[in-house]
Amino acid sequence: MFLAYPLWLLIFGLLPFAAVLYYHEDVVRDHWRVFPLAVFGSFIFGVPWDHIAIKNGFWSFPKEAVIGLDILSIPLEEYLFMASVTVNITAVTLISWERWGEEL
Amino acid sequence: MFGQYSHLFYSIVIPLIANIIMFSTFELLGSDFLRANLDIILGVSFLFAVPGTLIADTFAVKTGAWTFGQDMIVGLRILEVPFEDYVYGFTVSFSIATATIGCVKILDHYDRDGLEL
Repeated sequence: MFLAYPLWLLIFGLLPFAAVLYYHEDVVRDHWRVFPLAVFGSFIFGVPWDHIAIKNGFWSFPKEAVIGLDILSIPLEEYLFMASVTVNITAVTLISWERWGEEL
Repeated sequence: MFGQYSHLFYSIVIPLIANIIMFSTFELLGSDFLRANLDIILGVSFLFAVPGTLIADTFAVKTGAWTFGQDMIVGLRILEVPFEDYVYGFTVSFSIATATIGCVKILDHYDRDGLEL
């Protein structure tokens, strides 16, 4: 499918975070500093991992599914995947922790 | 390198290394906050690993957003999604949830006491 990966990012990356912002904007505002730290951490581990995976053929990206811009042999969409997945998991963790978690 | 177990191997080993580093680092702060919130971390991990992977990866597989190397996976699929991807979903979610709780603690510690451990 043409540009399937950007479409995936829109549906499963951007829309869930928009919903988080709409319903739990206070949680995101209170803990905004956690998000760049978590994304930075995910890039530290995720970029080498992705590089190994792509180089060894664990997964690949059909040409028509991506826009075609690679950075360090990794499609731009993969960086956006790492960032969006991290942001959404971080948001759900923070919301769950605020509601049910133990005080730090 | 590991044949059909390659995807599975990396899906376990890389997050395991990340978690050992994180747990060791955060434990330096002297509290059991990660263990105290393990139910939250596990709950978030299962949420993203099972329904999350099922929905998002089924979409990816069906639309061809990405494809898997057939020689790199065991071959067991759940609704067209390779078993390894559920493992990947769990281990990655676990690592990010751990990092999130850890970051909250570190930032809280930093706000109160500066950089002193």
